[in-house]
Amino acid sequence: MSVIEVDGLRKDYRIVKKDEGVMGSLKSLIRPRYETREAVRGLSFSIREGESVAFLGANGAGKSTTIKMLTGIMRPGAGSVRILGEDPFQKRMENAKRIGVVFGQKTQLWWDIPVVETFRLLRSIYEIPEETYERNMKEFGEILGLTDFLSQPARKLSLGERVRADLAAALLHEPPILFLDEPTIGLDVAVKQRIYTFLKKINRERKTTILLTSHDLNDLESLCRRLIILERGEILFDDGMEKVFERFGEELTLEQIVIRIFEGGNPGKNPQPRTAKSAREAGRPKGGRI
Amino acid sequence: MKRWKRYAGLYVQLQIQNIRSLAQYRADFLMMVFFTLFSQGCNLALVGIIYGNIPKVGGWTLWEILMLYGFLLFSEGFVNFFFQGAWKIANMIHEADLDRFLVRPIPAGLQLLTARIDFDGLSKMSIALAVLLLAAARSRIVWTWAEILLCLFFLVQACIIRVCMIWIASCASFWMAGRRNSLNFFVISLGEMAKYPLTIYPALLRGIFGYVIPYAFVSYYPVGVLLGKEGMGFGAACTPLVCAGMLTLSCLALRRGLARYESCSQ
Amino acid sequence: MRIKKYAACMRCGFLDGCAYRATFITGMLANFIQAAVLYYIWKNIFRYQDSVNGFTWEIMRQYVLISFLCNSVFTMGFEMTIAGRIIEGDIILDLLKPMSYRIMLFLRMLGTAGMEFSAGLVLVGSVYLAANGIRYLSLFRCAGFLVSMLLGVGIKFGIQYLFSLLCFYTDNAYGVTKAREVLTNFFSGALIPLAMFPGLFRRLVEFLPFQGIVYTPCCIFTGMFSARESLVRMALQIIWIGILWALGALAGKKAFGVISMYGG
Repeated sequence: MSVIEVDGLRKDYRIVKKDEGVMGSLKSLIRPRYETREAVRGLSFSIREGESVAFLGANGAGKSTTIKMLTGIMRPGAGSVRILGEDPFQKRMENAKRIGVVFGQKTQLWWDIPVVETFRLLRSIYEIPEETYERNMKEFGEILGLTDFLSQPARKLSLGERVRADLAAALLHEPPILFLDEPTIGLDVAVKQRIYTFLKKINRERKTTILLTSHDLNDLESLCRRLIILERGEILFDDGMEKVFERFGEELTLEQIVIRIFEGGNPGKNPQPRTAKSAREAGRPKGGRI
Repeated sequence: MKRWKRYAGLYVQLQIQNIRSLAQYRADFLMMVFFTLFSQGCNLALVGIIYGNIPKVGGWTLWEILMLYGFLLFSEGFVNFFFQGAWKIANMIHEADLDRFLVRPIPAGLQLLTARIDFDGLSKMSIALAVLLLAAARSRIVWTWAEILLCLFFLVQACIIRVCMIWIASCASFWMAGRRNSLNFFVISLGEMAKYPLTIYPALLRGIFGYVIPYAFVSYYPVGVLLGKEGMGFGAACTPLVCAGMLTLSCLALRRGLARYESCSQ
Repeated sequence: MRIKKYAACMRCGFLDGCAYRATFITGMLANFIQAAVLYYIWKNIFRYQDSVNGFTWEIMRQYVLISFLCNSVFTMGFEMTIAGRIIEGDIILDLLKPMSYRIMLFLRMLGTAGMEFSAGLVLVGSVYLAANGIRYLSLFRCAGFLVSMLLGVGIKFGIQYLFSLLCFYTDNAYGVTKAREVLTNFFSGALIPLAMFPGLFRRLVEFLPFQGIVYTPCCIFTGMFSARESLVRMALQIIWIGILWALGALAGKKAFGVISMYGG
């Protein structure tokens, strides 16, 4: 059964065009000019229950926009989105009860109050039954190691602690679908490992469908079975994780493949393995773009 | 109905958590109490100095003017303490806080309203109450129960209108670039004008100050009726209507604003 | 080399001023409304009496407009900006730049102030001419006014800088801005000419820097000060700039020490 169905999804932005310098600023002060940028250009895919899918793409490839449309934050420009058969934008509040969202860059904990109070608030907001709440608190507390900092306010947590707490907060109401937007950004290896172990367990035991974007390719590889690569708002690749190597070259690491894709050349048209030297060159990280 | 009860409950719960955060900012709080006492002292001194040089402005005496002042300051403090979130929409948009509000199964408006708290509101409300009591005692009003109830009724409406004004001005952030929205500062500074009787302004300004941004119904008409001034009855009677209108506009502003945010949130 | 760096900062401030046009316009409008309120209060008062404490309506209407011009230059201040940068930790980047943080701020402010002043001048100039004509203008007094007003911007910067340092200790930048605004408005003569203050207040104000921001330039413009007194007052402005600069340096050192608390 498909839990997420996306068909012909598009989104354009209108952005203010700025000119350089003092004169340019004065000009845009008087008469701003706009230009249209196509952020997402016709995506179609569907995700079945219990799948774990990774979204990959350079900055500006349309990942965040897509996630925003899937979670109901943003109105689709064209095309349709169905989450568990419903339009997430039209029925945002109903949809919100059935999804969990983690933004790695942004906490959803209340900044000044102890973490445990945030959880209590969420219990009221999501109307979580007492029993479920207690059970989840116990389980998450153990696996994610929350107990040490439950009484601290969010602003005093380290990044690792904060993300773990965020993850628990997103799953308290046992949503069938979990969206993660760069959850592990800036975390150390140990915390990442803990989080991925947890996600795997949730995915396996609760059949929670997981959709995540990340720049951390190694972890994507270990966690997700399926990979969707976006490039300039379009799907470049959508298949099993292992297929990516069949298509782009067995001897390459995922990282190398991705760098090739983002550097503009479409490696799909050139399946010939490159020389060791050029592969090494391509493998060199480039300004942290991905 | 059941839904609204639930939202009211959630409001209380969210607000209690906000109040708890005071413990984190005790030094901050004391500093702000000092600042507020000082600023309001300055404001009162200004009124005092003006009246030290002349007996009446627009036919109103010092104590009558202080009634206007009390109404304005109380409603301002009320917004600060109970609905400070209304001020912060620009920040919420800019820092993408709104995104997380939109993925929760309760209305974004409720979350925005309770997003912040400003304890300064408490000191403002206390100063305002003190000024009001003093002015009420010195005025010619005979305080029957009916008068007291009427006064409270007007005070509540003043608070509602104030919240809505700031809310609508803040909602303009949905259409504006940049992290600062000074429209709500602007609306607040318009309050300056409501500290004096409306009649001293020429018709155009009176129209803008008093009715387009309905400050006349926050202080001028209510206080005028309480003091038994002439020609206030109709305006005061309209206050509930203005209240309802402002509430409707607020809802509309939020809805339209969110629709815009949804189509281009960046 | 140095000049180039400074010019770049001022240009930055100017561009800032342009970029936040909505902020600027509404801020300006808010100030204008304040001036309008005062204008009409005085107008109403002068309907019943010819002079208040030595002020006639003729002088008062000039005073209100000119004080608006002085006051509208850079009122928003940078407290909110600094507080934002402290909360997000960007302040460290500012402090790491190879240039005095304060000079950078000052130049940016000057750039923004330049933009605001020119806009304000057009507005006030046209309102002034419409209301008063060229009857009272004198070249000498106008020149004196401009110099004195520039010195006033220096004092204003000194005060704003001191207040902005408070943002290192409190999160409530709006409160700080508001307090500074009230303080400045009240004691600078922006709301009411200082000559009207009762005895004790009047003497207190003489010992505060604020009068240099509005009252001094306004009195020079309206001719309330003689040529000699004008020069003395301007000297006083310069002295205050020096004192505030020194205070800022001292307080700055202390405040930047707090940053480490915000680390992580």
